[in-house]
Amino acid sequence: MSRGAVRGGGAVLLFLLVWEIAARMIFVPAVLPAPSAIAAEGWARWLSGALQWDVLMSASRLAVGFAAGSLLGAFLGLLFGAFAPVRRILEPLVQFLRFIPPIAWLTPVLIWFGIGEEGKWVLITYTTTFMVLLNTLAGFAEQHRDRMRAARVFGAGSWETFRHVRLPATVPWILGGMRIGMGNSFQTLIVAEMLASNEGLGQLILNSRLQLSTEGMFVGIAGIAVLGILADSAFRAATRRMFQRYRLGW
Amino acid sequence: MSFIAFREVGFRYGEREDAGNSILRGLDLEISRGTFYVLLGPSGCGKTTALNLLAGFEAPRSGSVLVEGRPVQQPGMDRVVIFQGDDSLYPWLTALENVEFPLRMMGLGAAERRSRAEAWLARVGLANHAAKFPHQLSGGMKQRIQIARALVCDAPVLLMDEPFGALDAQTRTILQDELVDICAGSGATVLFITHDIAEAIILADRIGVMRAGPGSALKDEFELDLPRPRNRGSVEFAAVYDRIQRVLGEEVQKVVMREAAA
Ligand SMILES: Nc1ncnc2c1ncn2[C@@H]1O[C@H](COP(=O)(O)OP(=O)(O)OP(=O)(O)O)[C@@H](O)[C@H]1O
Ligand SMILES: [Mg+2]
Repeated sequence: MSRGAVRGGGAVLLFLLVWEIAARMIFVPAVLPAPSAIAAEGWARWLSGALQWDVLMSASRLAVGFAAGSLLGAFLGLLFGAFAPVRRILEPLVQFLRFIPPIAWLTPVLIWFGIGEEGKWVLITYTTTFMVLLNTLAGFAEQHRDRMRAARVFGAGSWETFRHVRLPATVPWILGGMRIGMGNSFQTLIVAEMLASNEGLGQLILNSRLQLSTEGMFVGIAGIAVLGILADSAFRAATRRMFQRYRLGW
Repeated sequence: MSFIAFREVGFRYGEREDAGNSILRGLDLEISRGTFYVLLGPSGCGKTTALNLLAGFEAPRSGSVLVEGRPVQQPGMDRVVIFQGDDSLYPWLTALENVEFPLRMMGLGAAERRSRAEAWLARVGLANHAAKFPHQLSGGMKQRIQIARALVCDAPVLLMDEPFGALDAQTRTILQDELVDICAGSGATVLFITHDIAEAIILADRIGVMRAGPGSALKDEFELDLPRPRNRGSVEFAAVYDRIQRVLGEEVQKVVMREAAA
């Protein structure tokens, strides 16, 4: 393990230790439960199988929405990048939609899709699509005068310039958009699960509050953090390997 | 008819028509086939602009830029460019793949692309760095990739805009000598821009000195018939250097005075 990772792990342990002490000495469990109490609650939920179920529900919603949103966002971004007229026609629409937070669509989505899985998939797909699309467009907007000139000098037509010069330059932007999209998807997911779901980590948090189980709330919160770290690390490791030559900044 | 000709070329950026906005005015310049032509001139006089016109990146506002009597319409593989700086290399391609790029655009098969690109990489001394990416190479190595990428095209015309400008004096000297060797065999016609009079004398068959702008044109030309390889320490070298220095120095002085006044 690297020195940075050891230090980072140390910081987390120290944070948990301070929290444990503060929780035991200052706060009542109903306000701030100790990490040990949260772990015990998490373990109990694990043994009953309830925790796995919530994680699985949240993770599957994220996976479906993330995959669909990444594909759709990259497809639209590349379409806009390859065909300027498409971009001119559709970009105003994108600019119009970009300030609407995905969660604002929750109510109409509930009306259209009900509280089943489809509604969450739609919301997360929308969240991811937007981030990937906007980032891809930003990538295409970057000017590389000499690269473009070299392409013309060395005989690239407009399709070849797109395929061999503009597209590769945009790959890191597409992947960066996917990473941001995944982060934003967690927000969308948790709110959607709190407001319109019977399962999932968001629902676990909200339900625990209703049942006055502060420990349960924190199990849900910690579950989100762990799920997020795992998903992001997996994404980073996979893309680093697959897109080595693009020198991703992670 | 000369191989390359600038005839009464006028150019300005933007639409303002006043004399102060004119970059080139009435530029006449001829380069015969196989000539290594070096363009000198004070900073900002329009050397790069002239090269861009010949490359086809810009179009003249008046007059014409001709290759074999035909006006330049657009960039093309008959006039390859070695760019100033290394922004034109593709960072996601290895040294070898960068050199293969023009061959790929020509539609050559993988095997032929590879063997031709490898031959040129070896020629510029990068045989052992073929699999490296540009960011893993030094500035001098990156310029060598550019040279290989341009020469792999077998183009009749090479355009070079201060290709060694950003390099240290040692590397620069080495690359100058290599370029002399490479060009001697190729028969290519070269337009080469530099600020370095010594570099000009080492390389050139003919040297043009441009006037300070705005509205720049050619001020003077020098035919160099010193035998090659040229010796930087010889008396003849010093004499030519001195003549060019006097012509160029006057123009540089004008720019300096103007900037001091402003
Ligand atoms: N894209 C541009 N838009 C407007 N003005 C420009 C542009 N490019 C260059 N110029 C101006 O045109 C003039 C000539 O520029 P050019 O780059 O051709 O000079 P140069 O002789 O190559 O100078 P240097 O030796 O410093 O490279 C300069 O005054 C410059 O400010
Ligand atoms: Mg210049």
